[in-house]
Amino acid sequence: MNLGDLSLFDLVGVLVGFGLTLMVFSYIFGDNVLFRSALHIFVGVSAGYAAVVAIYNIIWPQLIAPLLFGTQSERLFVVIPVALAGLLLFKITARYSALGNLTVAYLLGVGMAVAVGGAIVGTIFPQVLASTNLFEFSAGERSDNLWQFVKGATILFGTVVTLIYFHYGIRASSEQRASFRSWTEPVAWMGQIFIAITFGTIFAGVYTAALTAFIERLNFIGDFLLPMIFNL
Amino acid sequence: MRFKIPISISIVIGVGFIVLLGYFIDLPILVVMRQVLLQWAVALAAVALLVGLANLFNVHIRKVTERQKGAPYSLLLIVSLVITFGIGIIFGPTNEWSLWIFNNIQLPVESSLMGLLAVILVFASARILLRRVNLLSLVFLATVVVMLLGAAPILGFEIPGLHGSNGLRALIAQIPAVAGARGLLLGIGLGTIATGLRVLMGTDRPYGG
Amino acid sequence: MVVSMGEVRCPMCGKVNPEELEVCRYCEARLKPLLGPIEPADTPEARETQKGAVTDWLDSLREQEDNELNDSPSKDLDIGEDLEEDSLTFMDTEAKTPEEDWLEGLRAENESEVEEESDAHGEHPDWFPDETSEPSDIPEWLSGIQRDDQAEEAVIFDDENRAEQDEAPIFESSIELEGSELEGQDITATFLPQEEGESATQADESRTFEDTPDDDELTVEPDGLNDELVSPPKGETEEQADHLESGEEIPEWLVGFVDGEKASTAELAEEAELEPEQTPEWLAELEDKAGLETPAAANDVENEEAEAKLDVVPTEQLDKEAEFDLLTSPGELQEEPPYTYDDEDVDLERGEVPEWLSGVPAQESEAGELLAEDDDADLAPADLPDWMESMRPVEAAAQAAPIFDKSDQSVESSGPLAGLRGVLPVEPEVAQLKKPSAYAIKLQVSDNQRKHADLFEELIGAEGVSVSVEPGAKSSSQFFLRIIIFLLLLLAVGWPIYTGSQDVELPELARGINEASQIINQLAVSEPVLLAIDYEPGFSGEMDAASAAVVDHLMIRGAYLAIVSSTPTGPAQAERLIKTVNIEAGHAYQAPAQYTNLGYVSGGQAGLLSFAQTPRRVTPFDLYGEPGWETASLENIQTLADFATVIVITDSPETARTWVEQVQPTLADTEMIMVVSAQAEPLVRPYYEGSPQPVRGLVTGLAGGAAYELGMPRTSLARYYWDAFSYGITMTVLLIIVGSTINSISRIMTSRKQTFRNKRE
Repeated sequence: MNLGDLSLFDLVGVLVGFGLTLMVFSYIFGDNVLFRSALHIFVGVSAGYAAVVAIYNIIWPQLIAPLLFGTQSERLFVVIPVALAGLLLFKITARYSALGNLTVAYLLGVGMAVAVGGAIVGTIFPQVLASTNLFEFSAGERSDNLWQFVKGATILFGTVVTLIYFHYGIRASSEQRASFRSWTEPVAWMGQIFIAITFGTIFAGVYTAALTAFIERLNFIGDFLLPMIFNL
Repeated sequence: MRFKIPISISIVIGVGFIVLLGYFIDLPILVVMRQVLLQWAVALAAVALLVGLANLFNVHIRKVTERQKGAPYSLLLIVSLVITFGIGIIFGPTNEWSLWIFNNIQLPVESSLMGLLAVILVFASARILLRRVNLLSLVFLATVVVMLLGAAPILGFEIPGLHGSNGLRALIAQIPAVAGARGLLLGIGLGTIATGLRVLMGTDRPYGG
Repeated sequence: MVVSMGEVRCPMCGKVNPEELEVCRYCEARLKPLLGPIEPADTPEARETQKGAVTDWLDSLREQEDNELNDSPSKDLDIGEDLEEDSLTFMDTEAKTPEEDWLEGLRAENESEVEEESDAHGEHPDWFPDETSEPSDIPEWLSGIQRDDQAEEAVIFDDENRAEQDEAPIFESSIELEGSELEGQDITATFLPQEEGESATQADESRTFEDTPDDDELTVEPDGLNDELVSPPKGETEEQADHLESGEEIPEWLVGFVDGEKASTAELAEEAELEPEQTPEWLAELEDKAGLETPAAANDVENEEAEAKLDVVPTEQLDKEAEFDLLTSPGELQEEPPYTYDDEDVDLERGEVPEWLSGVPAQESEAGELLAEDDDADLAPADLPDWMESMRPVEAAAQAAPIFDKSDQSVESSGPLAGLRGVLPVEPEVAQLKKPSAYAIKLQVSDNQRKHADLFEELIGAEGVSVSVEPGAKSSSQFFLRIIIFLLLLLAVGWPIYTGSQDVELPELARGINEASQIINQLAVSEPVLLAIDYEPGFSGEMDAASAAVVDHLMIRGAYLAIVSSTPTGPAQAERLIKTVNIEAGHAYQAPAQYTNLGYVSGGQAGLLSFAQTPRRVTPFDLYGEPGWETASLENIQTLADFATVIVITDSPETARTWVEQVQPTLADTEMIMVVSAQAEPLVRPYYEGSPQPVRGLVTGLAGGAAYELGMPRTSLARYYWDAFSYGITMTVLLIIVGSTINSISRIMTSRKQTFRNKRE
């Protein structure tokens, strides 16, 4: 990045970005004012931008514009959602927040139905079928089929024991810890192994993502500082 | 003033079952009703986002007016929110001013936070065995090391058996990690079904009914 | 009855109680009868009336007895119908008449029976006269009777004491003879101690003994007594005569008496009837105590003077002078002359003591003490008949020593019981005006309760108070360790960036990357591709590097990009990505010619489902407010299935799952490719692995992007970051291994020290 090619507008922006990056990295030395300030600025900016996008992309074109400028049918179509939206706005106040319960109930009903339907159609059935279809042997070589069988069996076994660990036979009361039934205990222990491997993989993925972000930030700083240092 | 409970429950049940049935029954009238309900839900979800934003504003404005602890930070948040919202409303979200705010404030801070996470994660993973030493923690740590080692060449050199599509890393990612993840997905799906049906049947009423 | 030392048998229920108890703990019956002071009326008129009345009927009884003595032992004693428990009435007699004491006559009859009993028990009862006793002697118990002005107690005789007495007093109360052992017997022979040969009617002394009015068991009910003594009811007399005439239903000992009674009843009715004002003094006392108002007693009440008190007869005298034996057989009863009181010369009001009382020393001690001094061994224990024993439980259970109630020392000042002590109040206690007892308003709290209350108050008071937590001492080791890690990572990553190194070999093409590349390769020019950009700005470094090659590939293919996002920052991210790729790859993709940014789809899963079914309705305008579906590439798009392919670029596994669950089922033959972050890969890969395969192509993180670039003619961001990434990963692994090893050794050392310390302790 050549700072000289940047306009003032962009240069200020880069400087602001650079400063904020350093403010965040100052957390290495512990929690401080700079870090907290950068954090609060970020929250305010992200909230404000999200509100702008919601208004510009959804609320105006789908609720307000049809009500004000739309045809009769379009107005009739948006009367109910506008009314529900108006009730939902009462949730801002503590005194009349109960008026928004109706809209919340509507959103919850739709959301729950979508979640349930999607889980059934998009996850349960495909994943169960995928676990069983691993044993579909192709017309390839026998070693490939054997490897496919071992792979499929291992995946199926791991899936089952993981489910057993999470969902089977655990009853915890306030008086005693959760305990497994006798015969499921060794099986659940193996499920924990698979879960530990999965979580280790996820952890490694998170770290690679973070390291990449770290690299990108250092790249940004380098692009900003190095020309300044070497051009001085 | 409270709405009667039966109205909320009836709305939840009625709307929910219309949307749910649309997954399994292909009736024209049902499809139309489902589309209308979903469309309204999209608009109302955006309004809900505004309500959340307003609540955030109220909380921090109260902190500032009441001179609570952290009031200066809350003031900073309110100022940045108002400025961003104002510029965005006036000029639009794709305006260069809005994008300038996004590119030079939000993105750097968020990326920096993510980069900072790398340091913290290294520090935490090095102390795992200091806190707890058992088979599960050893398996977890070993998986992390193997996956990291297999993510990129070590000092520019790939280790045979570790790297590559048939290496250990790929093997772990394709077999035990998939098995565990599939179990997790199935568990999440089953839990979602159970929770969703409880709400649809009116057993759970998180909407204040 | 005293069962053993320290124990007393209840007269009502018969159960054993401790000696010190006054009330039975089982039935709450009185164990120790209360004997109030006996305050006889002291009005001269009452005394004279009593004297005259007693004298008359006693004389008549004596006469009758004298007449009938030779025939059969009979008794002129008028005994009423009912025998009250412990109703002992002893009359003080003046000096004996020249006639032999009718009690002594009874004594003689009983003497033989007593001797038998004494032979059986080995001792003579005290109250039964000895053989050596002279019949003519005035019974000591009669002569020793004194009136004690200060007497508060009355003597209670138990069976044992009575048995020890030489002479038993006469209790003039009615006895039910019907069905008893003594039916038909000469009652005087039974009850009146007589000397041999003497007539019971010759007894000139009798004694009345009054119980305290407080003791219900000992309360004398002079109703029948008064009537019997003063004016036997005609009806009763006739009935009694008829009853007595039957001779079958009455005890034997009463037979003689009954026979005599027949003759005397008429006389008694005529002669013995006393005017109310002629009621004997002792009788008047009884009436007063019982609360009855005879005319004589009424006069006493009006005078409001204390009644004459009967002196407590010393038990010693009673023992010697007792001529009365309840335990003796009826046949042994001797006839005794009725008691004759002719102490008319004595004016008790002036303090003159009757002659018969003169010999009795003043006794101020409690009668109970007197009785307690009795020598129980002198009297032979008597065998009471069952019916007698049931009638007199108090005597059976009463202790040797009488118990006097000292609780109430107040003297009644008004009413018929004026002058008496221990009088039950007329008004109930609740009606008595008295100052209410003062109760403290303050709650009575013990020390332990106070402690608990204070503690609870402290807990509640501290509830809303936030306790300031002092920040723990920062571990300097952690501070420096964090800085060291940062510096090492900075060194590992910064050096390749600074040097611009691109020496590290890119990873090989994975199956998922290969399949994604093949799908994009099949796209025609201007073919609509739905590009969903759903990653946060924080992941922009990785996701930009991972998706840049894919977007570059799409641009190379000339696909028309319809960009949508389910996150508010997605549209901005999309614009930034397009701009970056344009810059890096040298493309010139512009909206709306080459792409359309449809903006933000809210609602999460519901929004995506709605968008999948009716995309035109959900996103009718683009990010700039222009109609988004009017371009040539998008005008024929009705559903998402009309797109050539759908590419989802996301960092979140949940967003990826939502796209797979809600959108993929509506895609039909349209293939879905996912470019995901390394953190989302484990949860997205199951959708890629196996059959059916919702996700047809999978590009994962920086490595995926770098691998994708292998097939591209140019490099992009992934190549720039790959060397730094490689060295960074190496340094990271090194730090993790070294740190884990050091911490493991430290932990082992610590645990060994702890174990050693524990063993040493």
